[in-house]
Parts: sequence; C-alpha cells; structure tokens
Amino acid sequence: MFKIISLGNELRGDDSIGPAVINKLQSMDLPGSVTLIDAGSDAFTVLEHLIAKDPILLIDCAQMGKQPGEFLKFKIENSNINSFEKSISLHGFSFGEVFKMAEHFGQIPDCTIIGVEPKSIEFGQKLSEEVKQSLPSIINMVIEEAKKYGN
Amino acid sequence: MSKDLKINVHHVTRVEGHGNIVVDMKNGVLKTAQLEIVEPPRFFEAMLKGRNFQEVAIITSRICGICSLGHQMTSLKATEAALGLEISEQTKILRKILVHGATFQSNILHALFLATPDFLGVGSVFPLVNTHKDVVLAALRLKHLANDIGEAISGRAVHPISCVPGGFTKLPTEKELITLKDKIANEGLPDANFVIDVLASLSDKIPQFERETEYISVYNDQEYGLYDGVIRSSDSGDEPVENYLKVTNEFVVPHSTSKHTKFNRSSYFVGALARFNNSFDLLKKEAKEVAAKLGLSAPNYNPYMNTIAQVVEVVHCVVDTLELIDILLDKGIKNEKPNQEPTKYGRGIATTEVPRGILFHDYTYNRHGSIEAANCIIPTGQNLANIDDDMKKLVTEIINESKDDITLKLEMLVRAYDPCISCSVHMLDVKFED
Repeated sequence: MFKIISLGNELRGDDSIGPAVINKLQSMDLPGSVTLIDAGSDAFTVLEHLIAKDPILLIDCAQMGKQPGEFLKFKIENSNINSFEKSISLHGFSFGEVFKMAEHFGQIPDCTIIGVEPKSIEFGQKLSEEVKQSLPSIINMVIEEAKKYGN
Repeated sequence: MSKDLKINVHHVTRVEGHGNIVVDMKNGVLKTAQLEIVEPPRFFEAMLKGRNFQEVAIITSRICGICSLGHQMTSLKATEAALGLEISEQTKILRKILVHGATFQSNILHALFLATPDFLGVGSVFPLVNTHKDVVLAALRLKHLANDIGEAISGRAVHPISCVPGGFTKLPTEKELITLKDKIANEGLPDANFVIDVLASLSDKIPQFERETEYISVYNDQEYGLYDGVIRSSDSGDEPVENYLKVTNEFVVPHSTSKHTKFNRSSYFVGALARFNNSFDLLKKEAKEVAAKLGLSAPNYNPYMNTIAQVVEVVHCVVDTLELIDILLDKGIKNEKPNQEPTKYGRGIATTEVPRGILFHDYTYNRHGSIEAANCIIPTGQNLANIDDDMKKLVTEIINESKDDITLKLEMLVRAYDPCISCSVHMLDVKFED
C-alpha cells in the first residue's frame, strides 16, 4: 500500500496545493495499490502514518527559497530530520517534532515529500496562477511515485 | 515585600499559534501580567460574505484545523436557524456522535501531548514517547477512532462532506454502526481508561491555584451540554443563544490582536472546566467516577484542572457515543434526504461547545440564500481576559518562587486553557544543506 497524503488549508491560497492534488487524483485511475488521504492541517494524522510501515508521499507547500510554483521532491530520513525543525506549528507541533516523535517509535517508513513553493498563503485567496500552472506536472510526478511504490 | 520581576516568554510552546507572556513587577507592585496575542486577524467573516448557504459550512470548517468539526456544526445550525430548515431526530443524533468524536480526540491529544510533559517535568513530548510509549500509542489509537467515527458517520475522517444543511447526503449503514460500536467498546473504552490511569498517577503534579470566576458554557437540561442548548453563566443563569452579544461584550485591548470578552465580571472562563462546573450532574456515571478518581469535583476553581476536566469528558463522550449508536440501531436508520428548502431568509444564531469552549456563529442571509453578514466568536478569544486575570493573581501568590518556576507555572497556565491562538496554518520551512 502506498499512501499519498496532502496537507494544507483550502482557504489559504497556495497552502491548498496538497488538497488540490488529492482532489484531482480522486478522479483518476491510479497505478497499483494507492490510498489518498487529506490530512487537512492535522499533524497527528501524519504521525499516525509515520509510525506505520507503508511508504508515504506527502504533498505540501514549502518555503524553499525558490520561485512560486517550483516544486521539489525530497526524502525525509532520520539523518536530515533536523532540516525540518523550523517549520510553522501545527497545534504547537512542527513537522520536525512530528518526524522526531515518529523516530522515537522506531524506523520511519519510506517518506517522500513534494514541496511546492507558494506565492501567497493569505486567507481567502485561491491558488496562484504560478502554482496552478505547476499542478499538471506535480500530478505527473505523483503518478511516477505511485508507479514506483504502489505495488 | 518589594521585589522586581520581569518575564517575557516569546512564543509560548505547545499551544496553537503565537502568544507571549509578559510580566513586569517593580518594587513589589505588579504593573503587567498578561498574554500578548500578536497574530494578525484573519477576517473570516469577510470570506463568508456573498457565499451560498450550501457552501458556508464547508468554508467555516476550514477556519481552523483543530476545531474543524465544531465550526462546521455551529455553522450548519446557524444556517438552519436563518433559513427555517428543520432537521430530524436522526440527524441530531448523528451530529452528536460526530461532536463526541471530535471532543474526545482533541481532549486526549491536549491532555497527553501538550499538558502532560509539564506534569512529568519534561520539556516536550519526546521523553514521554520513551517512558510512556504504550500510553502514547493508546492516545493515537483514540485519535484514530475519532477519525473512524467521522468516516462511518459522515463519509470522511477529516472535513466531513456528507453533513450538510438540513441533514446528511449519505447515511451510515447499520452494519457500519455495529462495527463502530464494537470498536469503541472493545478498543476505545479500554484505551481511554488506560490513558486515564496514567494521568491519575500524575494528578498530584497539577499546581494548586484557585481563582473563582464566571463559568460560561452551553447548557442543556436533557444531556451534558455539547451539541446544543442555551448559554449558561454560573453567575447569572441562562440566556437564549440569541442573546449571545449581551454575554460576550467583545472589547479591544492594546496587547491583543484578538478581542477580549466579559459578562458579569472582568472576565469569564470557557472550556471543559466551565462545562464540568455548569453541567456536572449530566455527566455519564462512568465519567463522574473518573472525575472522583482524578480528584475533580464541581465546582472547581483551579484553571489547571481544565486538563483533568477534558479527560473526564473523554469518558463521557465515549460512553455516550455507545448509547447514541444503540438508539440509532433500535430505531433503524431511516433513509432521509436533507431538508434544503428554506422557509424564510434572515438571521440565524447558533452555539456549540467545541473542545476549547463555547462557539457562536451568527449569519444573516438575503433572499437568494447568500450571506450578507456574519459574526463568529471563538472560545480562545473569550478566555483571554480570564487568563490575564489568573496571571495577575498567580504571580502575586508565587512571587517568592524562582523566576524559572514562576515562568513555568505561567506557561502551564496558558497551556491548561488549550488555546488555539491562530487558525491552523502550516507550511514547511526547509533549509537544504549544500
């Protein structure tokens, strides 16, 4: 089982890229055994999957110092967890903390993140044009990942 | 005794959003003791303007990632009141089950992950994972169980979609309800009791501090007030929900971007302890037993005990969910369609208890079924004045303790209220090593 998990608030502009990807995937035939999960803004839902065994793909907007709409795929591993320390809180928990907590339970599963550089995460905004234009390429990247893991 | 003390905790940890604790005492005279809220306002009401009644609850459920379901319920009820949409008994029971799931999920996560590290004298939840792994796993299973409830009742674990104005677009089957009931009885209840036993062993770590204040909550003489009822003040009795502005009296203070509120005193308390104090008699027997075990009796004036009241509510919600499922199974699930034919257009006001306290939504709809005006008053805003008043009394009582101890007790105080300062936002901030 391959889990594709979106994080994000649909009311906050480019923060809604994760849910937008999941919405699109729901209407598509996906390769292999794949589960789609919209975690909203709930860190504990992520934690729950980080202490399970199935490989995970997280889709989220991420400030990476890139141009709006640019996206990157990277692996979360025990060795680079500290890179995620300064994340904005989720109920007082940062991503780094959630990953570290998962690590305390043992080996975290294979975890890939697709981070998408936002233009704006202001409340009441829709996806920016820049991020919207990247949506098809992000979907393609997700499908490639699903082919790799979803068997 | 004359003493100088300056405390400035920038960004209290283990709460949702950013708040700073500021204390300034000079020559034994307390000049400042307050919680500063510095986040920019979010203008949710403006986002609702012009929206059709079928969209409104979907939008409001995303105001906050933590209290999503409570906003959704309050929104649905305000819309139904404005448009004259009657709902069935079956719809009410299904919604009550959803509220119970959201309440026990939030309460258990706050009690264990955010408050317990203080009781154990550790700075974060990580040591807890090592020393109390079983109990952390039990809490996560309870969290998952609440998601199962959401999925069975409303089709989705997060942001239910089948729960709409006038009813449900998809109903659970009796088989799904039986599966859910078995899981709650066989796994949920034992897990809740296990977590409670651990917390009971820590209850002597809760700071002893009392300040009687006004306690405001939803009250319902038929059941412990969560899903619906009137507004109850421990000072002045009951008010219909339509009078909420008379109760909340929002006002602006320089140190907070969130408005404060007050009713009969300079401040009032909302949340689990207010509910417990106002509705103790209506708790399920099992929950009352847990309260006794945890040393909590009504009325209780120690704000730190809010965390314990949350734990008591976990048991109440789990037990009542089992009873509500039995009622549904006894009556059989009726294949009802949502009632979405407005009989009027105008103003509708509703209240629900969300985990952090009483929540109000107030909408005015035009003749096209679109929002013309909206007002939402969230629990954390209502608690801010009370937190400040607690701080002032607490600091003068513990002034002879070390600065570190005073600071910790102030942080624990803020955390006890389980504040949700910002509406949930998350974004990764990634720095790649070259």
